[in-house]
Amino acid sequence: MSNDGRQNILITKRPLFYWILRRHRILQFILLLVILASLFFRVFPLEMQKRIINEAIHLKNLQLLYLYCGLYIGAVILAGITKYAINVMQTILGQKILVEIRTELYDHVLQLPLQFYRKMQPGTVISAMTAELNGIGFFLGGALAIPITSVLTFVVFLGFMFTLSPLLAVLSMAVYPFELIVIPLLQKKYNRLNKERIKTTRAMANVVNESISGIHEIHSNASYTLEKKRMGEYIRDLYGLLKRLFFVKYGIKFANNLFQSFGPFILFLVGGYLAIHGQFTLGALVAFLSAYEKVYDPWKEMLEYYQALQDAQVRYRQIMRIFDLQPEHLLLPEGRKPLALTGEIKMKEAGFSVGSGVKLLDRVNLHVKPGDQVALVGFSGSGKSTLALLIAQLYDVSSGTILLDNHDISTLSKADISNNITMIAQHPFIFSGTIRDNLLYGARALYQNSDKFPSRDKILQAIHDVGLEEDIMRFGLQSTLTREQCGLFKEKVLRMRRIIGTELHDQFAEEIEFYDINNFLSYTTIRNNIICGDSDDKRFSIEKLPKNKVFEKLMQETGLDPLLLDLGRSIAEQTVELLANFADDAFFFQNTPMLPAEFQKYRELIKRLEKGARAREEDRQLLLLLALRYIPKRHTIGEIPPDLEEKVLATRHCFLTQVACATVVDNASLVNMKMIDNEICCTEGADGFTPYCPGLYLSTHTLLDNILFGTVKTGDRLTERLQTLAYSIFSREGLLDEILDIGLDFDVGSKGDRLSGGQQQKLAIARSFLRDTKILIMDEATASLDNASQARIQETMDNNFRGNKTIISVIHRLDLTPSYDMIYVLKNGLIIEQGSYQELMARKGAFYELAQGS
Amino acid sequence: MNSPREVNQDGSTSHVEDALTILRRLPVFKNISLEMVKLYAYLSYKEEYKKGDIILQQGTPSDRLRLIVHGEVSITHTVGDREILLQKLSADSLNCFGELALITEFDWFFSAYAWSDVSILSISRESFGKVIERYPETFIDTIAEIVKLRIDRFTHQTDYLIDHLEKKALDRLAMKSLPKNIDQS
Repeated sequence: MSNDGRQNILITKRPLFYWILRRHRILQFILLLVILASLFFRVFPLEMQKRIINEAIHLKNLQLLYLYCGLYIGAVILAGITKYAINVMQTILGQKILVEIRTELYDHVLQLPLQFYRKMQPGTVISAMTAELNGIGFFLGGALAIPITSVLTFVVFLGFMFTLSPLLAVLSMAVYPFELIVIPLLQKKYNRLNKERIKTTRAMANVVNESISGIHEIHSNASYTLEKKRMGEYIRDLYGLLKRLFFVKYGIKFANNLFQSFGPFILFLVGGYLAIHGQFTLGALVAFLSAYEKVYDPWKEMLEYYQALQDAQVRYRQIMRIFDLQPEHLLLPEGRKPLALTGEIKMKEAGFSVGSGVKLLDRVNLHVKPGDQVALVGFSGSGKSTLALLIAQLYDVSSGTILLDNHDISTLSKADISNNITMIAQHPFIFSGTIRDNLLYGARALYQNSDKFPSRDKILQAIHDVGLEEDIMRFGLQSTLTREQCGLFKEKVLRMRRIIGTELHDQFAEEIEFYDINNFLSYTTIRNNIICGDSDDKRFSIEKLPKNKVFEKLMQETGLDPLLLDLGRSIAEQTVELLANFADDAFFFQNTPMLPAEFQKYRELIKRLEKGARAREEDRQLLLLLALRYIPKRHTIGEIPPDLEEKVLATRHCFLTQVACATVVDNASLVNMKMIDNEICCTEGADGFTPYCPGLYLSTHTLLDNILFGTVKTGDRLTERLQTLAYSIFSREGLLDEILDIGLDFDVGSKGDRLSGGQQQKLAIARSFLRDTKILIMDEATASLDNASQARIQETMDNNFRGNKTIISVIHRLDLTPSYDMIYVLKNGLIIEQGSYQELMARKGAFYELAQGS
Repeated sequence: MNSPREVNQDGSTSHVEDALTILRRLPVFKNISLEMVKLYAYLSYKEEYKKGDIILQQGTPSDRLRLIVHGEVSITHTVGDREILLQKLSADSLNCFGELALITEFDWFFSAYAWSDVSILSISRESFGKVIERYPETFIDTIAEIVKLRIDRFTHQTDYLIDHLEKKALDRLAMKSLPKNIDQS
């Protein structure tokens, strides 16, 4: 939080090295120590080299040779280990620092005022928070360690060279001054190109973001080529920049390498000359050359560090610059707890203007007493929404004051506001997740662990108040529960099933064909007729059944096999013939078990069979599939063999007893089985198979299916009449709340796109009701709801909130205003009329005119 | 709970073929190509009603043509709280109703009841439209046949009403022995 004592510099004003110097100092210190150690292990072999040649070899001393070689290899290995440790520590350190930067930056970003987000493209923010910050990560780890190491290494090796021969040392250093001049020049150019690259990448991110947000428009206008061109320009620009960038980057490296090559050249020349004239030992020359080469490494590292530093600085600056804005209000109040307001609002000469001087609100005065319900009406652009946003502290007044319970709103922290005010926007944002997540979003933020967190009853009440109950019921009924989820619930479901099957049997029988193990079912598939149940692992599903060997054998025993094949063949033949020219329209496939996508396949199959070819196993399975999918009362195609029903029932019997091993209670045979007083008449079969038994719950079917225990004859929805009847029973049996609870777990899709516009709005309103704050501000929140829903919500506000909550409502539809205590009419940012509905109508002024017009 | 299925005792049953025979009885479907009729047959549905069931209600949206396969259907018209019988249809003559629903949307302007147990074949407006848009050249002729059908029915109904009215008027005449104006009751 930006209120902590230690961060009194605004995050965006901190230099890059702030993070490096002030965070994780211990770890950095350890890193430094390890680096120093590795340094030692890198110098040591050099000395060993010299001694091996000069002493061991020269003096022909094997002992010494072994000793020095041993020490040499030991040191080299240790040098390798420490280098590994350094790399790992550096990366960890860098990422740790990055985590902190990212977290604190995001914190800051979230608090930036609304005005900022009006001008800022989401693409830029995303790009900055993710990819651009990543680029700095690695640099941060070695930001201190590397320069220190490199300089030290450089100095040490240089010193070593000096001890060997001052003259040579000086000569070999001759090239470096040149590099110190040339390279910074090239680097400047690189920096410039880098900035350009960042800008272009951001612009590209914005274009993508815009296109995806407006994909609706792109599809409607088929403007794909236009968009491709637009994006194409950015892609090409980026390519050009990157190319030039790397030209420069590698150019710098090349320059460096070039200069470096002069060194050994000079050495060999001068050193060799001295060695020839006996002024320099061979051993020393070799050691010198080694040292020289070793000196090159830290120099190269320094150079790379320099480039990385520049790169990181540029990126860091670019990121921080765009967020360089002070949040207007503190998050938490200083020195006190957040206020609990009574809901009194006063505005004194409040005005709001935008940058160009246009006044959206001018000298507004109003007084709202606690518990009042106030309506703001007016023409479009009159400032109603602005006023609402000002009271919610989402905008700040340009002139005048707003007082909440006599506190100046500009001195209040965000916590003060959010604990007391809830605002519902006209176009609410629905987060991806379940309905429950969305409903509790506001409440969670506010009441996280307190006892004011909404209970299930409160949630269901809120849903009822906004008119979402029926929708959530439907979601609940369409869910499939696992056995575990059911629990006690199962008993109620089965009880409901019994009620529908007995008490309300006749009414429901008109629209539903109940599952019945004794009889043939005409409104469901042949597969359901035979298998009459489901297993948890779905091994008897329609797709898998044709390949099931056990099933095949069973069908052959009962003589069903040839019948189904004939049926399948006639279906295929007739469909292919009839729909030859109509296969492109899915409408025509309603009456056949064949799917539009399969048409080609079956056409070829029939052609092959007509030519007299033998039916392959594949073909057999395809034809069987059609027959299994066949629904007698829905599909109008195919020749139905005369004894199909009889054979199907026989197969069913065999299947249930032999394959699924569903035993029957009290030795009643399956064929003659009746529902014994509506109790369980069969048990579950082997391996989680559940037959269509009145007393068993089908865990692969939806809740509704389980309750109805049958197929809806005409398609998939019950009529209004039966739905209402069903709901009243749910209520009676105390099942309503449970079903609603399940419905709350419905996933709303990305941005809530699985909900209709009206449902989204109701969800947002319910969300705000659950926050239960003293003040509620609604900005045309019910605008896109139908009349009935609007009226219902109005009713809730009348009955439940009157006197308890202060409500400020921006309204378009004036017929909803009579119940408000006070109505303010705005025009061009000024309040032109105020009063109750009756007063204003009697006055026959602007309000009266507005009311006539709408 | 059990839905009775008609199974043809001499062999297999085919919905398309059965429907085809039935459809051909109507002049509307008699003079069009076999391919088209087969499609209509394929897209048609069987409906069953018990004696006394209401088949369609005056005032509700129309959506399909119905052909009587077995049984009798009575057509009535409701004015205020009075319901008057207009026609009785059977499988032999004038055996369909709701033909105008194939052409356009409107609310039913009459009601239909099952006078006995009734078996019906229906074709929806949507199905009709989908087929005929592939054969646009037959459109005018089909409409003409439908109009002729409507005219036949209208004539039949008017005749029936006039008979009915005359009969009532004669009765009243007989009872009150007063001449003159024939009531519009």
